[in-house]
Amino acid sequence: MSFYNTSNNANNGGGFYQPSAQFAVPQGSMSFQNTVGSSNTGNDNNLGVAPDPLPVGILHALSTKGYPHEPPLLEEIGINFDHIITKTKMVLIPIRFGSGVPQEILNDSDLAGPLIFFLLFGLFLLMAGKVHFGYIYGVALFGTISLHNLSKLMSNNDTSTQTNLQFFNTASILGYCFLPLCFLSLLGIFHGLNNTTGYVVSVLFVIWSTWTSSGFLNSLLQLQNARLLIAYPLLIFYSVFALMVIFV
Amino acid sequence: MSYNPYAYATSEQNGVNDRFSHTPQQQRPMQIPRNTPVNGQGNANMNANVNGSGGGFPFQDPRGSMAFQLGQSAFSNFIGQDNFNQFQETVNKATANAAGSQQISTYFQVSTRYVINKLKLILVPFLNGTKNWQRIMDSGNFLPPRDDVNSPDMYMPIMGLVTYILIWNTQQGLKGSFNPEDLYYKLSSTLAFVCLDLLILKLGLYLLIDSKIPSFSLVELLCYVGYKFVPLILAQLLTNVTMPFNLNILIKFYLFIAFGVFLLRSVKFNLLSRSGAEDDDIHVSISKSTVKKCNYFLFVYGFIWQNVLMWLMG
Repeated sequence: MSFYNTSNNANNGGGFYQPSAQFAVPQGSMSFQNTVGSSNTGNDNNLGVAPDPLPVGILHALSTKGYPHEPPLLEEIGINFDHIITKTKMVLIPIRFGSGVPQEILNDSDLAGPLIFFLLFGLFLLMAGKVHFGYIYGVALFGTISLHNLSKLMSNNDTSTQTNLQFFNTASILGYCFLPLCFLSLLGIFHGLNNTTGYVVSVLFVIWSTWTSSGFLNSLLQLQNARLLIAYPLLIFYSVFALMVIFV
Repeated sequence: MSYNPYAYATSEQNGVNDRFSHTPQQQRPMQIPRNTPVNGQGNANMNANVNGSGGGFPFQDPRGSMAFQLGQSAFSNFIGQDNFNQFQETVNKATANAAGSQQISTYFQVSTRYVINKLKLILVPFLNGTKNWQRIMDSGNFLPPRDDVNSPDMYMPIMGLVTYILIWNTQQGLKGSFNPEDLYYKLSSTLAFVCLDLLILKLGLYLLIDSKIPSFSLVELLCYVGYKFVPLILAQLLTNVTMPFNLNILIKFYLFIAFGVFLLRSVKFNLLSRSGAEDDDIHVSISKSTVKKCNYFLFVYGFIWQNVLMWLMG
């Protein structure tokens, strides 16, 4: 209380001179912090003092333990391996879409899986003797941005349900459904695909990716009578990557 | 003679005194309003701190609030209140641009049935007769593409453009000369063709139509220009097919003629029906000469120019 009165008087006194007012405010804040700190030091019940101090000792210093209430590192970064495995299984087994996609997995927009798949695709192309990393990144970025904007514009069909489509959700879905094309490029290492059999296999893999991603996007956007319209640009997107696998 | 210099010096001194006396008077009213908000903020800070000390985190709240208010007052003092208001107004205008995307989103409200009917209309325009080319209005606004087959949309032009590029690159790959760089090259050249086509159509309509009459928006013209990718894709697929009696050339020619008919009727009927919605005087005065000129221009544009362009692109 006494400090409050003193600082209030100081502010009133400083009101007549602007420069001194500018200098008075930081001093007041510093002195206030010091006073509060000194007053809290004597109170053990106050939460301002660190409630869970780090354990002392050389053994604790060398261990990997931190604060007891600290979340795990993977959770803090945002990588959820359960979601990654579940999404990968959904891509590999597309029949499961009949039961519907859990909303929690749809809203998890992680990019760890997609990055691994794209790098894997480039690596397999590299093993087959083709260096297309720049084009993979360019087409992937351009296609992802275009498909996201197209999906957002088309998702206003039903105004009652305004789905907030995030860019990373679209990127995550497109990246996960890229997995069949990784298998295609893996086949391309051992066998040349520039023949009739290669064309048929490539078309099947592209249709597989398209079907899976259109299922994901249809669940996310809740479109009506527009599943084919959403699937068609996805077909074109994955076909461009299939062209890179088939032709040298 | 000796009195004159002293008189001038005296008058100059008076002027200097007047200027010097005015400046403090102007500065004092400026300073008083600036100091009062600072004091008010200081008092508010003290009150908030006193109340916050009872809470659980007395260390964090005072610093955050004091730093925020110091920054805010410094910001307003530096830029000025009027400029700050203008800045906020600019931000609000930028946010209001989201309403523009709502208008663009109207052209993407498509359904599967609409796309099938539109493809049928582009490939076989003769079956639609001569009366069913106008757009349907509903309470002053045109219906979205989902409900009206004559309404232009942006989905089919974009899908046609990308499909055209994909098929061209596939054919390059089948020849054995596939290069991912050609994807970007073909995209750029195709967009250049579309911009040229759009420019010609916009310039022609701009020169022929009076500015009083509401004409097509740029997005709608882009829709009509983009529909040519539908016959172009089919013509592209026919290039490598060997048919007897040069049937592929005949089919290609039919596709281009059909697209010319579609384009002529779509633009003509919607253009003139839109002008008909205006006053009768303007409509009567324009209909005789302008309609004839528009028909001639759209015929030349739809049949001659489009055929030349599609032969070049095909």
